[in-house]
Amino acid sequence: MPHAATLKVLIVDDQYSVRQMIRLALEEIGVRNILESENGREAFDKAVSQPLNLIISDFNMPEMDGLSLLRAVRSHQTVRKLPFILLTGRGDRDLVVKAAQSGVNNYVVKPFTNAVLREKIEQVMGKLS
Amino acid sequence: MSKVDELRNTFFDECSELLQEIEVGLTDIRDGRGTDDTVHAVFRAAHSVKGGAGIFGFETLVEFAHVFETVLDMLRHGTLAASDEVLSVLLTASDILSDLVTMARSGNPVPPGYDSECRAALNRLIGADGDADAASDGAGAEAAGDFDGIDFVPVLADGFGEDEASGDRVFNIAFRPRAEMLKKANEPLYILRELAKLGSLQLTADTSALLPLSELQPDHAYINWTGTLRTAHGRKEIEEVFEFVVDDCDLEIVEELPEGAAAAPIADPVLPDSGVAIVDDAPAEAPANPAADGSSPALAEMPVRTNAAEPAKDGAGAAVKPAAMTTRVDLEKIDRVVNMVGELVIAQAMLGQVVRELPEDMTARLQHCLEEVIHHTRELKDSVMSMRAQQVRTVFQRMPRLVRELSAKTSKNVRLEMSGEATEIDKTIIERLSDPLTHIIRNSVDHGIELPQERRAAGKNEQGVIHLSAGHRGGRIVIEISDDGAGVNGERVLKKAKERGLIDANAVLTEDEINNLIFLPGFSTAETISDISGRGVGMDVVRRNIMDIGGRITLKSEPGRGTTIQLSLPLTLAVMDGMVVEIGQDNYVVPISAIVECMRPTRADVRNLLGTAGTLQLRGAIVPLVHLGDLFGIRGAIRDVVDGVVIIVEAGEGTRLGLVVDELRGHQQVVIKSIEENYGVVPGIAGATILGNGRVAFILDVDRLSGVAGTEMDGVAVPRAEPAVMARAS
Amino acid sequence: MGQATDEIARTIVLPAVLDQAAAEGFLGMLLRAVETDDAVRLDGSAVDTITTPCIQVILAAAKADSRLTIVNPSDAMRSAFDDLALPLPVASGGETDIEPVAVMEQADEAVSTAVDTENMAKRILTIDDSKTMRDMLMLTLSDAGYEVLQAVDGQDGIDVLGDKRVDVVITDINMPKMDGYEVIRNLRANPVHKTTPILVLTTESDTEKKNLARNAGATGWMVKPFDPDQLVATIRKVSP
Repeated sequence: MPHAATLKVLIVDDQYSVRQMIRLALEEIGVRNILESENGREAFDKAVSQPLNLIISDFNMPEMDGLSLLRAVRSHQTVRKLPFILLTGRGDRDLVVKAAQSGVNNYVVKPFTNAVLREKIEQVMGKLS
Repeated sequence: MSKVDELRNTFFDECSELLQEIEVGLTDIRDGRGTDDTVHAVFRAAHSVKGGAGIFGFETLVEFAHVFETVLDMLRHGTLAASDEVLSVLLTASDILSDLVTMARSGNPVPPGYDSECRAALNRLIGADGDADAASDGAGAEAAGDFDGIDFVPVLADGFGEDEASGDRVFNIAFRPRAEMLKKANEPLYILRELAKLGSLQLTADTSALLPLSELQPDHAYINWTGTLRTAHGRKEIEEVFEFVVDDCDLEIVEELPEGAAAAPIADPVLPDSGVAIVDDAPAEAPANPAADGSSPALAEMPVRTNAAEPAKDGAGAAVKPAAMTTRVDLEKIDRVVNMVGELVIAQAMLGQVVRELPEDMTARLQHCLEEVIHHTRELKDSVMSMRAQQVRTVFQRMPRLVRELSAKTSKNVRLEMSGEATEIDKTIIERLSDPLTHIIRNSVDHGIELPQERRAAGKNEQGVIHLSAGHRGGRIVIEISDDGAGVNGERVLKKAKERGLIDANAVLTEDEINNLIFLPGFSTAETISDISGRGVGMDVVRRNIMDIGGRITLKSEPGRGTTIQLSLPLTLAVMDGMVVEIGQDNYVVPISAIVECMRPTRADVRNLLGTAGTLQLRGAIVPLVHLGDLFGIRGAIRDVVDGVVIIVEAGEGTRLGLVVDELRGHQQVVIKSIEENYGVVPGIAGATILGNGRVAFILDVDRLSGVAGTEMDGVAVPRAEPAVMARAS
Repeated sequence: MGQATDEIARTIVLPAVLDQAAAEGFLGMLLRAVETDDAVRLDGSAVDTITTPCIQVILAAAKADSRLTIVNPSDAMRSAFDDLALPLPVASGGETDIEPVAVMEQADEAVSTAVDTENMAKRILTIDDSKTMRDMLMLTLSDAGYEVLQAVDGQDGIDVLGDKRVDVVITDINMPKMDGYEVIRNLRANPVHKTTPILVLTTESDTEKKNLARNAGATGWMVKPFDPDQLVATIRKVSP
């Protein structure tokens, strides 16, 4: 039963306002340790250079999209098991299928409520205290 | 404002940039300047708008953006060709999207069917079967949250969610301090004690490297440790313990995973093309040499690498903007700083005053220090001002759409070219530039550019061009709007002006003077007040707006060839260079930027005319004098012009005035303080300031002085002296 | 090894503080002790603080002369060895009744002047040209029970400190007259401050500055703006 406050989460999205909304949602849940990245490449660098507990990433980003990031993470020895949640928009059904094939832990459809986000995280990490 | 509201506003700010990208991108594609990256960038921008709208719950926006994005997607995949009609639809869509965003921002409901025409056009592009997709995907038929029909099961992460007992993790740690570590006062005992606090630690020390006592060096490290830590914490906490020493020791932290899963190396990671570069830069050792115990030596060097984003890698992704380091700051904060700088300027002037009054021999060093201070204050002022400076782009970027719409409405073919968008102006000025600029361009399209057939008949290109440019010139910002239209019809203007009694029926005017008549209030040559230029908003209002921000507007025209309107604006509103003058017992400040020349006239130079303050003969031109002492009713001012000083100023519209003052008192930077807030508008006075001597001085509003002084002689606009002849006072 | 009652033994009473600063003097002393023919006994009853450098010396000495033993190790001494998983060369069985034949002068200057233990509060020197920052540090640190010395820039810091020992130095990096890196280099070159923990104040994203500071000899860093609890925790990390 992980303590929300001990989790270190990386948010990946190229839009500042979206990142902040997700941050707000995470803080509501009790997460304190939140990192942000604007694109997949930077996110990957962060993921392999420091211990993370979870990545929440959008799909649509310049340089390296969320799906590619997922695949890169899953192929890298040190972080291949890093929990990964993908943010999708309505109409991204195919994307979810592909992500599932690449080993995504869970997905969340935008727009989402804090409750939904929490549930999705708990489906992956177990009940948060 | 709640956090969410703030973020929503931020989102709208982001949208402005995104919408701009879309518009510029589509325009480039239409004009043949687009590349593959342009299409991708436009698609992504639209997708971002949709995404953000989704997060903040703007349904209509999401749906429209979705359809828009679908077409853009087809464009970038090549399933749709970038023909003129397609681009036309897309550009319109871009406008509609922009409107929807504006409506969302202001909270106004979208008029029903506002976007339906455009949406239908987009759907047509998507095609018959595409229709179904677009409709169903966008149309919120899905349950909030999940996708139906996909067999998705969330994957539980390792080490999570199971039970408390085996919530503990096991880490094998190797710690080999190097000499550097001890030299920096990092003590292994403290570190290992910290580590032990995380759980239960089994530690083994290896002293085999210990040198004989006679060779021992106290600040070297001879002992290393290996251990196993059972802890509920994660790697992060462990690494934090070693945070300071990571570079000065060999450190390994390897988690013992259940079922010994740690060891197996993954053969050649399969990465999408864009990912290849990363593996080279990120811990290169890890995939390449899987150590037998699955340890990750790369970790020891971790903090130094990979943290900085690497803009150099951008070679491939040309659509990526260079990473300028920016931050968001409340405008209020900047304004406060601007005020503080203003106060600093005043204080410094006072200091200068005091220093000047000290005996010479004492002040050499003091003077020198003061100069340093002045220099730094000036730099500070410039820096602070530039913080508030924005690129003119923000105002300019609305113009292309304006021109597009106007051209359509008037059935004219007009192209807008812009240059110098990166020119920076103080934010306060930029905001007040929008209306005048809009009106000038409207005028240009409405009255300036001719109908295509007229242009053809005149031997011109059917497409008219309006050129909008901005640049720095002589300490001011110059904005030019020029068109290659029909120019001002001098005869008609003159006729109208005489008809309306704006000028004397017998007046003889130069071409330039005629052109500038359109700035007079109550003037409009339009036969009908078209809905474009609007009712009652004439060029006089535009000129008033420009003058209100301390600017000047001039117009030049060549019949048949075109018209150029030039706006000259000050760099900033708050601090300016002024010439302090004395009139009677009082001090006034004349803006340096308006001063052409200062001189002490002789009797021969002055002509007296009944009813006025007289005129000055200056190298063949006549300059009307304004006796400020009389104008402001100042007692004790000198009576006779030849006893005082005349300051020749440029008072707007190219007219010149000679201001009569008692004496010049020196040049200094002054902070403009508004008197309107406390007192009200005083004609002829632009504001007040505090001088170095602590006294208050009024700042003259040179542009309006001519009006106040009533220097129009016999109804004729005051003639302008030739600029080439006059030397500028510095 | 059995102890014949007439075997000459030198007993050295260990001082209270055996930190890195004391290490050199301690090394010299033990070298001399071990070179004599006598068995060496270290009385550790007074030891309050002992860290790796001196522990290394003791272990090396024990290797050089296997007759070296520690008698009456204080709790602090025991736990230090324990926590480092190192064997404490204790005398096996109660030798405590053997009278010291010679009590070696424990005074090697460096060793005895280690710290005046009369003043129990830890002393911290803060160097920052920003008054606001100095005030914040003063507030946080004095609340936490530290005695705080202040300096307004690098040179001032060096001057204020002189040769007085402090437990921790906290310094900003960007300062007029002498920047943080200079301060660190200066302190490290001074034998009195060579081994004093030095923390630099840095901004989060400045990896480069952290590295430069470390290269100059900084012990660690504190990120600005700092959380008071974090600050105290970090100080405790380098100077418990």
